[in-house]
Amino acid sequence: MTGSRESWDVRFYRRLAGAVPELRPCLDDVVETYEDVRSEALRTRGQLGLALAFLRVLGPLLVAVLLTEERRIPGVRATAASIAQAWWRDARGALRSLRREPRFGFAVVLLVATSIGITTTIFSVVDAVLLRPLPYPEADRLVLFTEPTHSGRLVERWKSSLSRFDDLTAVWEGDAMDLVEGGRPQRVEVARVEPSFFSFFGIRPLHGRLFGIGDLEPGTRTVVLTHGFWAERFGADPDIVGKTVRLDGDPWDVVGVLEPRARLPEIVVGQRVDLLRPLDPSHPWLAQWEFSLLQVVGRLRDGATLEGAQAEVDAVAALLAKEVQQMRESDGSPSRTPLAGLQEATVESVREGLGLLLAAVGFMLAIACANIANLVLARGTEREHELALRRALGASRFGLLRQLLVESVTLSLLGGVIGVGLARLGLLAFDVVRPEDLPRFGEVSIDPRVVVFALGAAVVSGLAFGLVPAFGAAGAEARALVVGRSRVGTGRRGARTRSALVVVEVALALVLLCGAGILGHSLLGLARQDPGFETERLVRLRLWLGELLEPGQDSGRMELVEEVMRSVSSVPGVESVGAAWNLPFDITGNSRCCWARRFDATSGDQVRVMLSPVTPGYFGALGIPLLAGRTLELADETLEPPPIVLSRRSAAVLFPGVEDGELFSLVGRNLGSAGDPAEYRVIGVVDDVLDFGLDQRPEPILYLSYSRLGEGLGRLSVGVRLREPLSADMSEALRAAVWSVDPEMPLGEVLPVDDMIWSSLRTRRFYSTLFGTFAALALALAALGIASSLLYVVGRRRRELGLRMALGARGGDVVRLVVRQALGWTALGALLGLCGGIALTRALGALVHGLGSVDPQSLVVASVLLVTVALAATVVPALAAARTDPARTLRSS
Amino acid sequence: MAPPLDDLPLRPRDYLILLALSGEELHGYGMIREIRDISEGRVEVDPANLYRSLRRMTRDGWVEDAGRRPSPEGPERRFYRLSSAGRDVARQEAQRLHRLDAVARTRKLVPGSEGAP
Repeated sequence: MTGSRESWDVRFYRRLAGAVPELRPCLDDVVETYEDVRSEALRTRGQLGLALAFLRVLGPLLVAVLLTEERRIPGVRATAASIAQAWWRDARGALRSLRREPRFGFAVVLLVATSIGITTTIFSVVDAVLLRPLPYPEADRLVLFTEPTHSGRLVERWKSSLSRFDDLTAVWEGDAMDLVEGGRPQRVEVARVEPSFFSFFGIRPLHGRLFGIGDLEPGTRTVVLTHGFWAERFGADPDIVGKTVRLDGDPWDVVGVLEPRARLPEIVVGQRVDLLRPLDPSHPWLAQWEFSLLQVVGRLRDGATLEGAQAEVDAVAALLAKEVQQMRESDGSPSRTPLAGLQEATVESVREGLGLLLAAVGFMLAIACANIANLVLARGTEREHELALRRALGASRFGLLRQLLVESVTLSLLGGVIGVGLARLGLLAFDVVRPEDLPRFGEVSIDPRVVVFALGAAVVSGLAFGLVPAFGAAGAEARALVVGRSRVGTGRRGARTRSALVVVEVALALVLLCGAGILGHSLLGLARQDPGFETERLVRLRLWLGELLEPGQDSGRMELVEEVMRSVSSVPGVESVGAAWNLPFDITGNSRCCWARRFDATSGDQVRVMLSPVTPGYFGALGIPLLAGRTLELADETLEPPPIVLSRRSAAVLFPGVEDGELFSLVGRNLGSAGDPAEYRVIGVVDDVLDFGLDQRPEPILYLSYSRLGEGLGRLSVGVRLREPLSADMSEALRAAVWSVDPEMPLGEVLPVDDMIWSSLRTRRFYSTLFGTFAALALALAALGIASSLLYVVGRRRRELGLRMALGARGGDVVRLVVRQALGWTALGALLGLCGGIALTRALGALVHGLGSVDPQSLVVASVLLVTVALAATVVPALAAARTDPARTLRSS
Repeated sequence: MAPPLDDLPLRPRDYLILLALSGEELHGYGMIREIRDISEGRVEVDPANLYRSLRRMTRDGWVEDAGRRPSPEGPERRFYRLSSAGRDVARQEAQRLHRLDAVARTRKLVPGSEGAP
């Protein structure tokens, strides 16, 4: 309801409506409806939604108000044409002033263009990624079955028993095949999809056809190419359809190519897909409960709610838990599958980060506006004489207001248009620094909607920096004429407005500085974190052995692996070699793929532990410290029960209560589950490794000989410790060593592990860099604001300063006067900014790592930096003040 | 009373407002939500433009002020209803669109019509 707790935006619109009695009843209704709409926007989309709802109403409402005001001007009855003419006259006047006072005009246009350009760049990303619905039919009814993957059996059960869904479609992502076409093998990313996938997401072919039931026949090998891969690898050859390509040694028929605008749902198929192949439901791995391989998206039936669907999925889970052991958690409760809207799930990871960037550029825009307002204010004081004269000659107060507003909006629109152009460049730059896993980036563009935003932002900025001075100027009645020019604008009110603007600039800049400081501080802390192994001169070589096989199927792969290891270790300059299915930092972030199993812990609980198959040299080559017992050896590959090495964390969850000093007591203990309590035997314990990223906690890991799972594994990550830092020659030598064993083996690039760790921080670096850049720009703008305002004050007070000096004040005293003024602004701004900075720390919670709720160090550093820059900004004005010539001042008065 | 023919075709927003009001009496927010529903989320009218249309259509006698009363959200709001003239205009626009639709069907542009792909 209305009342004293009404928020700023509603109050603003109420006042605006109150200004125009003629429109009152209608505008009151508009404001009431706006209240309803804003509360919905706030509820469903948060502050950003509120801001958009506010802006949507602002434009049309202002136009209505201005038009009505125009009509009220006495004299000729205003028509739309005559009003437009008057506005055009004022706009032309503004453009003419560009020529008359180029420095002022260009400063305004430049400031607006830069800040609108940056704001628009970030907005275009936020708009495409966060705000727009996914480009699929009935996208709001698409639901992701989270907890990343599900077994084929479970998906079957869902399909047959869920009634609140129209349709479910499953995807097997993250698969890759070797494409051998003319020489070197190439690794291509493949997603296996059901035939229903395409109609589900409204995806059509450009050439050929998509999958049908016939493609699921055993022995059928068909693929569909994505448009990008088709263009890149096959030079957009339209005759590709019907040809065959060799994948993993077999011929596959290309049956179709996707249309260029087809957007595959990244969250289920992965960021990059080259080929799609049919998901064969009879694949032996899909018939088992324990292999979770499929990503599942469902479309809710018309009228069904997410809550209702969740209840149904939970009911299925409860039933299954009774029948199937694998569908029970360790405490016997059903394994739950939370549902999430596909859109929310897709953008969840970036929502906060992008929102904060948008807020940061918004702050920058506000600082730029405050800066321009100060310029306009200074100039407005010069023009007050002209305005007062017009007022005395009968111009209405509104007429003057309109003239000033049209002028500032014209300049700002000019800046906005240039800003749109800058935003195109900004997007190119953004593409270079953006995190690779930023979802939906392919949909980002400077389209009409973004242009409307940019121009809207320009108009709002123009009104903002026009309004503050305009109210002051139009308020200066004809009094100015009487008093005479020299005293105009030295009024308290002008000075207060100017000071307030500078204080606001300083405060906003400090908030951004604090944010940048916090992000940077946390990034430094992360980079210093010990990953748990030695990274120096350690490089990674990745091999692909072929398709995943069923465990137990013999393929001769173990012999191949052994030969590769021998060949690589014999390269001169190699110190040691060890391999695993995944090396640390092969997979980072929140995904937890890989083998995992449940074991009985001594506490009686079942605990989930990840299995990491490694070769004998693994621990030595990576330098993972041994805490107790011994590591795996070649002979362990045939021992029964299979020997295993625990990580410190897995020891803690499997054998709770065992202290660090007693880890040796675990050596020789058996490990297993109810069916086979002595499945494995512990031979040693090693320290934890931050496998999945410096910001992730160590997972409980159980290391076992590579050959125990080796036959089935499709890939191998080889860690090679070199004697010298990696060189290009060494890189080639390592690859040649692998190809000497198998010339068709696809190989990844040889990467230093330090680089992998660095790139795992890419997302964080991105936010820190961007925030830092914006903060630096904001600081520069604030410094500019301080300097220009001081210069103005010095100019205004020149007479007083001259008088003081004539009466005996020295240069130093005058400088002190100027610096004191600057410090006053800075201190007040810093105080406000620090409050904002502390509030921001909370908001940054999701992006930072390992910092408390307040980060005093960053706040102190940011404040010191701010004060230093503020002091630096006083140099020029202070010198100007000190150069005041008392004699000249006295003469001129 | 038949409206002059030059009112047709209606502006899309006006037609949507008339459609929204063809059910029950609605207040501003109610119309915005109803229009969102019938356009399957594609059209989001902002309050200022909504009332611009409403003011014009009230002046033309298509829409009538139905007085203030408590809204479903709680606070008191002004409700609007369709006048018989407004209903007439909406009907004529619907017939016009229907004729266009029939043409589209014969040209096989509408899925579900005979011979559709």
